[in-house]
Amino acid sequence: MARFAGGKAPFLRISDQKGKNTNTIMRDFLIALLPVVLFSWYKNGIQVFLDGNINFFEMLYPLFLIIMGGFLSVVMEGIFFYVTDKKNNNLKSISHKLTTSYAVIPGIILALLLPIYTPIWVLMVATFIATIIGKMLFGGFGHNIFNPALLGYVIVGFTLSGFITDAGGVFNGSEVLIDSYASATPLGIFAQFSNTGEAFSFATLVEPYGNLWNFFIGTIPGGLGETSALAILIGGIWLVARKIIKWYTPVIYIGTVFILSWIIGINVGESGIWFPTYSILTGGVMFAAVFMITEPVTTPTNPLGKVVFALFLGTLTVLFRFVGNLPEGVATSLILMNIFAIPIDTYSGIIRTRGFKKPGLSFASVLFVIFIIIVAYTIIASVNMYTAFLPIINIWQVI
Amino acid sequence: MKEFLNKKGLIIVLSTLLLIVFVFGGMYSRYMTNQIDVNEQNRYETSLLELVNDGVTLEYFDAEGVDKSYHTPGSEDEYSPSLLDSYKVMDDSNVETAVIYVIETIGISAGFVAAYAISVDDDQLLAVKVISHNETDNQDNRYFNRLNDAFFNQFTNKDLDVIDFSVDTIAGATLSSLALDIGMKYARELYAADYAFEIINVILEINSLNYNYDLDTINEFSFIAEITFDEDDKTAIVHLDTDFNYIDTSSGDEVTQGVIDALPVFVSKTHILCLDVTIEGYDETTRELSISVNGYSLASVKMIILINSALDAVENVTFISSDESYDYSHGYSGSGVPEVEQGYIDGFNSQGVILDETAGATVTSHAMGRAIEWIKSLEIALNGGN
Repeated sequence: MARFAGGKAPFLRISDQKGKNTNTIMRDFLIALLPVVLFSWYKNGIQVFLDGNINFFEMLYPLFLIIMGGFLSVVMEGIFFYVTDKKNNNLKSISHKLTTSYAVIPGIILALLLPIYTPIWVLMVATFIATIIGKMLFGGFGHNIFNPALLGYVIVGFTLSGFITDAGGVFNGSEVLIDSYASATPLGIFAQFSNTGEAFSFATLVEPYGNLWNFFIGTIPGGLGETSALAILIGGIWLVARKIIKWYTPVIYIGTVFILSWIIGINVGESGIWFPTYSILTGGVMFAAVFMITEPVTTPTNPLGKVVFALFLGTLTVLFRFVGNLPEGVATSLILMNIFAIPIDTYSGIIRTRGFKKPGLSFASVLFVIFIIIVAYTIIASVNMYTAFLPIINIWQVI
Repeated sequence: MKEFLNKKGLIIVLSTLLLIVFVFGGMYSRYMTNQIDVNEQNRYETSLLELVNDGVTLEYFDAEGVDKSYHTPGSEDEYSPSLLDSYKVMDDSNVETAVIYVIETIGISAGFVAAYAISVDDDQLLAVKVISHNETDNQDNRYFNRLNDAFFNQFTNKDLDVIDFSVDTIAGATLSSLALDIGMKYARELYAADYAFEIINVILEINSLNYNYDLDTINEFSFIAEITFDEDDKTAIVHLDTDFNYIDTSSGDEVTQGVIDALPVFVSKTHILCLDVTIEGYDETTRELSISVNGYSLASVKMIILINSALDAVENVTFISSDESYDYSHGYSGSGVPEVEQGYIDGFNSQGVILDETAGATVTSHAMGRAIEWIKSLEIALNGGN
């Protein structure tokens, strides 16, 4: 059974509310994406054009890429419907299916995750993976396990990123001229420190990009739609105000990343609030917090499940960022957590209805232990943390 | 047909849409990628045009090219700089006003690329611009970053028809300085080949160089040099003033005007003799010989040497003035100026010795050591070489 279906689904409270149905939810979702789309176009197109670094035709490309993301997604789903349902492959039937499938949203989100110089053929491949493999082959809207856009992004990121870099990569026409960027995104710079084990500082991580205000506004290099925390927050506030998403899901996720980053920062001698702030304002943390972990199909639907999901996701994001070789961490951790969305949803639902009794208690206990282990491992394994514990271990040995 | 379109029309439209996006979107992507290079080239050419005030457009041209080798900075090896680009610069009347050579040389690392703009009207180097480099520049005010405006100003409106066609290097960025110096010289060679410009070429070798210790002529000239010049290896002994300007010829072949003009440059660059001591003047009535020696600055320590009445020995040396300063933060613990200078003079006056250098006043110590050595050489010369 679909966990989130077209039309009215009895197990979804939002769509049961007066004036709310899946159509309005998706419409509000598109409205929430609007500030992000506009800022992305402004930062990567209009502003660069005004700087005199690109021509008018080049200025339109970011917007074209985002629109094409949605358009390709719709066309591919249309073809899929045509091929798989021979009895209803007329225009009216397919149009109706497309209307209730909301194909445009994963395509737009996918385009917003990609760098500005992504070639169209790479976008087509990503859209195919997202729409056909990630969504339609699982049964279509409401049946998919993985966030379709994220799946397309991750697979393209692992397999075709070289083509994107060769085509121009992530830096827009003005950013390539800024020497202090040194051809690296903020997370790229952080990865260099992570890999070499050298100490990082505000001067090395933030100052090349100005200050943290630039990170908040979004005038730093990065994927098309993920740099502006401000634009994302505006979209998020709209979604919360419209009761499309629960405010605590993004807050818990961002809070988890913030607190764990702060602890790690303190243990490497950077106790300033700048480091956790930098951590949540870089990469896709904010974008994922508002537009991905609130997505109703691939994340838990009940409040307890959302909390558990956000806690785990935040911890894994930090784990992958600071311990693993993936400077981003968000996409990989979210794909991983998508797998556990159904069990988390199921057992958290049982706990909500029956309280902490079997089988919910067992599940909660296992989850709790796993969570503690991941948190502890993340903290200990992150940057010189072990050496930070050495004095304590020595005291214990003396005793 | 109608039935076919009814059945397959939709899939054809959808597939066509995909194909259109693939083809035209792909062309758009390709255009965007190409524009990165186009924009970069435009910015590059604009930055080159900024080197020439009245430059409006650039025209690429194939330079003649010159095979010329230079010492690799910091090494005994030789290398030939590479000409990467050459442009004619046109003014608003589309008349050629300058030429720009983009040359790759070697500093501390290979890949030091700079543009050199030369005015074709005045035969002057107008300016240089570093395009890219691999020098050390990750520290403020260190290494490459020491190449300041004063350094780059040396390249502005610099005449090409001079013998001393070089720039002063910057301490701490010597190799980077030399990369630009060699690039500039190579640009002049290229310009000479392309525009029939004649580079002044003087054949001159300084075989020996000595101070003039003869009290009878010491006021007339300070140096005596033995030189070989011209293609047929002519030789002469010439007299030079304190700035190495030609005074007269003592013996040998007649010296040409080109050699006379070139002497100050060639002598100042020779390492045959330490040239830190300057003869300021000799007073026959008081038998006082004034000299100065280079310390932190040129001629910063001045002293008077009193010659005995027989004119065959130094009676004593008197300290006059000093512009030196000592570095208390690097171990100097004595009194202020002229403690060190006076110490060296006293050492010579009382025992005829040269003191060891003083910590924290190394430069001053070395200067005074060279001054005392010079005085000892004078004394030997006065005493007929004994």
